[in-house]
Amino acid sequence: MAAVSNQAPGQLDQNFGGDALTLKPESYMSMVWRRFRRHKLAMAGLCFLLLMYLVAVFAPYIATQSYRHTDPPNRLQAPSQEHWMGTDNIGRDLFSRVIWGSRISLSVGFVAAGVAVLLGTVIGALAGYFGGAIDNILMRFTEIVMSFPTFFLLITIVSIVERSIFNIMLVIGLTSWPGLARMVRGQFLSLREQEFVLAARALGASNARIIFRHILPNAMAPVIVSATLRIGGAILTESGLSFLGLGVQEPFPSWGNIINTGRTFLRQAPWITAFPGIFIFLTVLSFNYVGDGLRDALDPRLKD
Amino acid sequence: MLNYVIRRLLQIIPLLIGISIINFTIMHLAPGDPVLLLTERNAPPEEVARIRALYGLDDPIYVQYFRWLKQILKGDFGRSFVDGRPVVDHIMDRLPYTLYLNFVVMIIIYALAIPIGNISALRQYSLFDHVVTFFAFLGQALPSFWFALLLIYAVGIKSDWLPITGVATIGVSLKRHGLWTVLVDRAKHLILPVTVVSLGSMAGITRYMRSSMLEVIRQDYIRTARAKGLPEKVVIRKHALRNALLPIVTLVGMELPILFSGSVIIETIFSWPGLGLLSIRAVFQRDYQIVMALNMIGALLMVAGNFLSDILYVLVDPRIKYS
Amino acid sequence: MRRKVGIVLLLVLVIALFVGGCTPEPEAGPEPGDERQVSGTITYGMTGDPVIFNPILYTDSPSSFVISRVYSGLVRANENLEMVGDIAKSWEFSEDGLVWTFHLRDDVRFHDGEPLTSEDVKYTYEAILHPDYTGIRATNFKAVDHIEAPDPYTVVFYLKEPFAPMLTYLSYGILPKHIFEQTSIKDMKENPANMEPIGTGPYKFVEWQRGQHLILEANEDYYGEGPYIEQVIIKFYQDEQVMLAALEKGDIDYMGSIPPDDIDRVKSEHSDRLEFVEFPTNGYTYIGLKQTHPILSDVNVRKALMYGLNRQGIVDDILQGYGTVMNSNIAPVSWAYAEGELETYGYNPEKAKQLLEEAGWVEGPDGIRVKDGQRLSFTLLTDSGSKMYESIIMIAQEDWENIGVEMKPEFLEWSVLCSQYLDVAQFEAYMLGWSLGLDPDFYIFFHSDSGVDEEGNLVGFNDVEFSNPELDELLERGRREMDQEERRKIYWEAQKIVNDQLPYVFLYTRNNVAAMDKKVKGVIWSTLGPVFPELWYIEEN
Repeated sequence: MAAVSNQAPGQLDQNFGGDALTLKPESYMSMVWRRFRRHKLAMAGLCFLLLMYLVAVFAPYIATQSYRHTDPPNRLQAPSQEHWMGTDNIGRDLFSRVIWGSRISLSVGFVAAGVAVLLGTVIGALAGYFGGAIDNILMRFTEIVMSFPTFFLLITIVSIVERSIFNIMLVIGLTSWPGLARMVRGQFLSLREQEFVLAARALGASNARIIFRHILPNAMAPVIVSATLRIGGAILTESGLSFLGLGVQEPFPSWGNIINTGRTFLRQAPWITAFPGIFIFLTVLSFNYVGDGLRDALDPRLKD
Repeated sequence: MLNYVIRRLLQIIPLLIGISIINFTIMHLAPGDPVLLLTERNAPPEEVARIRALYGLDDPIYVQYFRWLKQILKGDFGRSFVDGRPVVDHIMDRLPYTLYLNFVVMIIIYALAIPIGNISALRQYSLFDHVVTFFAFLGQALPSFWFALLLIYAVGIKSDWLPITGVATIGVSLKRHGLWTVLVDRAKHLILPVTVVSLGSMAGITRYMRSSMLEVIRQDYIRTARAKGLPEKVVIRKHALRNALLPIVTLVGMELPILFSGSVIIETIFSWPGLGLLSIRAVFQRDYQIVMALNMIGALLMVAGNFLSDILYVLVDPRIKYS
Repeated sequence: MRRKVGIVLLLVLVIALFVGGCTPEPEAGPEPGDERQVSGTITYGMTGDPVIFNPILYTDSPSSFVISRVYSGLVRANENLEMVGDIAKSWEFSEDGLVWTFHLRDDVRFHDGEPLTSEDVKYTYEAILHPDYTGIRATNFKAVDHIEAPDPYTVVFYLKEPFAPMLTYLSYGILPKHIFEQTSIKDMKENPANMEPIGTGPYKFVEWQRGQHLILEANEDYYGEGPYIEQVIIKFYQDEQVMLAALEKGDIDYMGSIPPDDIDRVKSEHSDRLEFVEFPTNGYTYIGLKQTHPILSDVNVRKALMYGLNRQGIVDDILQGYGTVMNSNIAPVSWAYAEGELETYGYNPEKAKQLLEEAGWVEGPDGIRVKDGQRLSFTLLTDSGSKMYESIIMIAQEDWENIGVEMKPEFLEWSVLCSQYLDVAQFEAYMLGWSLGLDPDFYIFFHSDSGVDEEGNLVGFNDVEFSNPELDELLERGRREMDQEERRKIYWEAQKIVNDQLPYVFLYTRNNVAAMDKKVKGVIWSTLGPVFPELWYIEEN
């Protein structure tokens, strides 16, 4: 209590709800942040990602042209003052396309990882908490999905559904949750016999309350780390699909389908391939470093 | 031990049934009538009906499922919708190339990743360790198709050092050119795809080896060995390395499905005539018989790999009981 | 699979006619070849694997290439695209055009030593007419009533009605009856001779390694002049760029079509070793418009789409100038092309807008035109495998948006595009290309009988369901008329109707640039590519 006693009550209310007990998570967060900041590469990654998200949000103001404005007489132009990243095979400005492409690539990463985390957490939590037959059924199902060669399964499903951005996100999410489910289940298995859970149960808390209020927050650290790494993975997967022509359709640009065009013109215009690849690479690298930083910061035990 | 093996085998049966049901369901959700792929253009309705009956496509869905299941149990995956050849023949045409590429890749990965991971662990936080960790991060974030294209541009287009597609130069044969020329030619074709595939997978295995070694050298028995006054070299070689390699050995089982499925993207870029290229072609042509077979065999191998991996683990690690 | 088969069939017809065959009868080779040695090897590159070496069953162009060298037909085209004799020495038509008599050479032998007689010719064409025939060539011979072989060197075709285009179809390779009669017509696909062909052409089949190479060798007993090149090797590649690299390295001696974007560079780097020849193709690329569509049924809208698209720009920039804008459906290379007679629809967005205004389409709030609450918008389907098509569609989308038309592109895999949309004639618009046969007859493309029948099945290739009584009448007359001058006039009129009514937005016809190693001498170039390969010879430097 002493720590907050010399602050104005109003401020206290606003920040901490006036309850000393909730101080604990705040200091936990600041401790995490302090540890995270020590990881220089993770910080660099975080800065790059913040920059990329700003770029994606303000794409219309940053891009110098529409992503689909064609200019055939000026096709396959090398990078210049006018076209910072050169032009593609129908004279579209590559800088503008890469900028617009960040929207698709980044949102695919987020939504796909979101779907995977949601599914993985719910299935893992239910299996781990209830155990028994529910656990058995859910984990067999997880194993079945896990058994399919992921990329085969992915291109199979993508070839069946209509290729909208939304479907691509969904399919990537739907094929990448099993690993997470297993991990969450493991966490739940070890946490459900802990004393605070037994206490909550003895006090008559509902199952839902125990799962979401008591166990889940304690199991979140590895989930957050895994989700961060998964975003990078989903961006790589989407770009691979788009590269094969199974992803986002023209004229919409994603980093992967710009490289698909670049492949055809690799000899004449290597810049079409080069620039979007750098963005995929740096973005995925940043997510991986941020994930690594979060692992170190959230749970030092997880290290190595 | 035998009990454990039997129990694991029994667990696999419902798994396989589940896999086959999901596989079959996905394929039957696919829009479009496969009969249209099978019939000649402008086929009259009675011809369409005949073909439908011939392939049993007019039976109820569960009848079709059980017939399909019975077939694949006999190792018969049907015929390609596109050219009528048995699916098994298509797969056997491609399988050697995928195995060939991935076999070389695996040898290279393990030959490099084990010593690198090992040294990295022994000199934790040294410059070497940092550099290795850094490159492992780069390798995991690198889009393989982009890296492949950059390589093609650098050594295949800008300079003419290496062939950029295929398995061998067309027309180079043992009969006409002799063994040496054929070997050199094949090796040259391997360099680019092997480089790209290895780089991607090496990162993971190196880090795995590193952490496995780190865990082992913290163990009591290593401390004991050191305390006994054994030379450091002996401690590492005789005690630590052996135990650190155990989890890596079990990884071999997990590699089985990877060996089979190969890489769709890499095979596409380098025109490598393996199963990856077959699968993407089948997907584009909606040749569902082939797609189903590849998914099914891939899943079977994954299950077999997991099983093998578990058994290996029990066999090599005396600490694990199999009751 | 209809369209693929259709395109490829027409394409291979062209190839078979031009690259194929044997010594020309009326005009002999450029020099007497008696002293010339049979020596050397010519190596070709090809993308894709052959499927079946049977002249009446194949549908792919790699097979066609091999068949054209191993087999020979009754007639074939010369370098001026005229039909001349091959196995047939001469032929005559009866007055009414119903009896076609062919007189055969008596010195033609199959590669196994058996002589070729009129029975083989009769067998080949009767196989096509047989109800169990599984190939796709039957419609070309619908007019035939029956075939007779009165003596070993005479064949007579009796027709139910005159059918002028049929002469170009009598170029199919003649099958050896003594080998093929071992299998029924229904099981012809199973005959082993489809994989190891025995024909009468200038080259004999030696070996084929799938996905690798195929070897042919000179037929010493060939009945005509030549062949002078001892060995033909065909190498198979995964894609064009890889094949181009092989050409530049000297691994292959001939490539029939260099990608437009590479032409200038390859020319400048390899002119010392390679000869480059540019020639037009007999085909065109187009956007088909559903004629019964509520918006596209208005001819003024279709005209606006023509005026509103910078087609010359596409030819200049995307094709790098290696092509010609098309305005109707007969390629400039054909004898029936109505040169100077057609409306050219030069790029004119103002005129396009004016046409749309007149048709009642006024600009809506988002720039897209509206009429009676309906937006001027349609979906365009195409094959996802072509970067060229993708580029053109992106340009068209923007050009048309500028005149207030919304076009929504949809890229589909080939098999899906065919089986779910084109084969059932269900679409608003689509973009594809045709390769054409030698005869200008285009009944199967635009006659109203070639559209959709009462049951909704597509009968011919008129999937846009174009219907014009005047054109129907001309196309029927064109098939009956045997005199070429009269036919030219008929097809001029027919082209003008198509040019005016626009069942398609016509885009362009490509020019090929072929490269041939200079060690190959005596190559005869027709307007569609090199012909008479048996007359070429090798001079190593």
